[in-house]
Amino acid sequence: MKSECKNMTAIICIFCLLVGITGCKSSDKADRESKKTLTVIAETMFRRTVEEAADYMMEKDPDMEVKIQFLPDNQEKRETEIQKLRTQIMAGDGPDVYLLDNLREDTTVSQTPLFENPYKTMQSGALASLERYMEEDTYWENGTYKKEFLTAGQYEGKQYMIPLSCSYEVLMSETADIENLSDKTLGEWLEEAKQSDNERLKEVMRGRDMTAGRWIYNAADYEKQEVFFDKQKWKTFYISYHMYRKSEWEQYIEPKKEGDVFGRSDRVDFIDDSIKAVALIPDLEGRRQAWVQAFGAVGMSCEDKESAYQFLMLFLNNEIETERSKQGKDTFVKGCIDMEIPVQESAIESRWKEIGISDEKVQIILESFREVEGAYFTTSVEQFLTNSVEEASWRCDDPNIDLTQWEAEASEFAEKAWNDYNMLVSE
Amino acid sequence: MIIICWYQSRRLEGVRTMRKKNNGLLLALPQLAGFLVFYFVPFLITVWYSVSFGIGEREFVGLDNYKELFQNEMFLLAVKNTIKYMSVTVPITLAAAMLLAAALQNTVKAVRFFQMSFLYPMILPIASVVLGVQFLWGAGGAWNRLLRAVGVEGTDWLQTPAAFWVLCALYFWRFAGYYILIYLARLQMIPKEYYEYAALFGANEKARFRYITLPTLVPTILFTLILSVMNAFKCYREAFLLGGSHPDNSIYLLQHFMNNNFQNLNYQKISSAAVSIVAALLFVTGVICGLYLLMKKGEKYG
Repeated sequence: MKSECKNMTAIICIFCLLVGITGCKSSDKADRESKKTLTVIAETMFRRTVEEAADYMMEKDPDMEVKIQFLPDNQEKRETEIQKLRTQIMAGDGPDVYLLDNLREDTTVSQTPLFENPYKTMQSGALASLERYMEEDTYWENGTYKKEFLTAGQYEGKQYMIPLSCSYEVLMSETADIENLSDKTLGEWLEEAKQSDNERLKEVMRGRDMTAGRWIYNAADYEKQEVFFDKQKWKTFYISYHMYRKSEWEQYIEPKKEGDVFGRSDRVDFIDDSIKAVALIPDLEGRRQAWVQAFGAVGMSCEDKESAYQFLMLFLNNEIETERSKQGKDTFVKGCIDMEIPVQESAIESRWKEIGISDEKVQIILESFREVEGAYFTTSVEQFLTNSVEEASWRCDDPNIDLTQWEAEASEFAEKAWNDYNMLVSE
Repeated sequence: MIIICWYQSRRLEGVRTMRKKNNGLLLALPQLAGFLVFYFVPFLITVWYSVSFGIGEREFVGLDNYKELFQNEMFLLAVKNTIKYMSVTVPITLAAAMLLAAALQNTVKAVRFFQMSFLYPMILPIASVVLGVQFLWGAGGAWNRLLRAVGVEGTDWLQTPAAFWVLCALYFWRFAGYYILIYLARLQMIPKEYYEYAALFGANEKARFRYITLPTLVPTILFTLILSVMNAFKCYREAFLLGGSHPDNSIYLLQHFMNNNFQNLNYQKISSAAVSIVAALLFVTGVICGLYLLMKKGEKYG
């Protein structure tokens, strides 16, 4: 009798265990079947636009429910959430749509990204390829999206991520005499700054330490596993940059006018009426590129990829805008998800016109946008370079630091960056 | 009648044996169920993941993931470094611990002090230990200051191949004391009469160690060997705190490879690496078992 009781207890335990394992899934599935659900993971900073797009999607299809999860801004909570999400994604239970912000070079504003290296995530099989839906979508034929940006989100010719906003730096000049800079490299810009009287150019060049990760754009090819980071070129520029900064610092000790800044980092957002010309800041190879800031993707485990793609495209096409204007309403979703630079001309035009920038200036911004040759995702190596160079720059006025020390430091940074790139592409 | 009795007794015996068998199975059931649910089934799933591609919708790709893995230079580097790290730290730490324990065996004074001090490195939080290491060998560390004082330019040792030896030294410092205590405990259990008897027959220190101490320590050596290999495998925390997720090539270990690929959600790579490691461990265990059986057979037949 006793042993029978034991046997029964054992069988009940195993049964409960099996029910526990399988039960959760089946109830989930039952819920899903009753109503189509689209799960979205997004950055908190996109809250306004994402919520509006979700409302629109649910209005359009009453059978659809859009569940949004925002990644917390609080670093500690964010990291815990990201760890949980990574496990869920790997278990095939991840979100359907990803609307994320890429890693920022400046660590003071950067937050832990869900995809530490978007290039490697594209290789992992966690994301769905989108060409099938893109081929059927007329937006890609009629829209003003900058097609060169799409390359950043491709792996083996398939589109896994769509850049939704970007960022790039420019020199904004109050004089129109910067045309001669348009085909030069960053090294040549530095030489020009040494001899020029253009104060804007000098300021921009002094501020290059804040963007040291962009002295060489797109320094690695993760698909071909190649590193393009030229250590020698980077080292040479590092030394001449510090020499320039040191000499500028000596002249600068007494600020010339109120509000004067020692180093400037220009963005087209800050355009004003005094600006006559805009030139894109090149890298050491003379390339002019942007870096992807916000991007979207569809999860491989998504059951309704078409709806997920349509939701993602609401941040690029003018569907919501058109629909809302028919209803006599305004919308936040105007071809861009955040306050960074949009990836399509139409959105740039409407953004700057809305804030009262003259047509002439908008044309200048558009011209600079057309000059951008492509875009890429920033990784931890660019972040390391920027932080290291920025930290070193604070010592530029130290008389005890001589050339050999700058050289040793340059070699150390370049070597580490190259090794890190190599590890990232090979891993 | 006799046949019936014999048959009945056999039946009863059979039922008893079956009951015994069932009871054994019942006793082992919680453990077995735990192993099946939490280890064996997930391992089978990992095997499936290692031969397929994608998350959610998986596609069978055969041995492609393995081919890719064995061509991956970072995986090969991680395997090489992990083996190198274990083959340096494990024998050196165990041999030194054994010799020190033998030397301490006859110490009468301050034994308690020594015993306590051996445990300190283990109870210290690893983060503070790493801070100490950076204070010694970091870019602005004591070692570099010393070098500068004699006119030699220092470097960030933790970002050079020297980091490997720093990691080895850290392992030795952390675990040698613990193993000394284990050996000391076993050595103190050896009756003193053995040594006195050997001394009577003219055995010197070396002979006493060779013929009394060492054979008595064999089971303890096996135990510490297993423990030591396990601890060497767990040294990722130290390596991570010293060099981050992408440290110098010399301390890039298997856990770095696994962890970094987890961050990038590359489950097929992690799965194929995990299955390969298990296969390698099974192979090594098989070889050791085979050798052990051969040894036993040799002993049996002279």
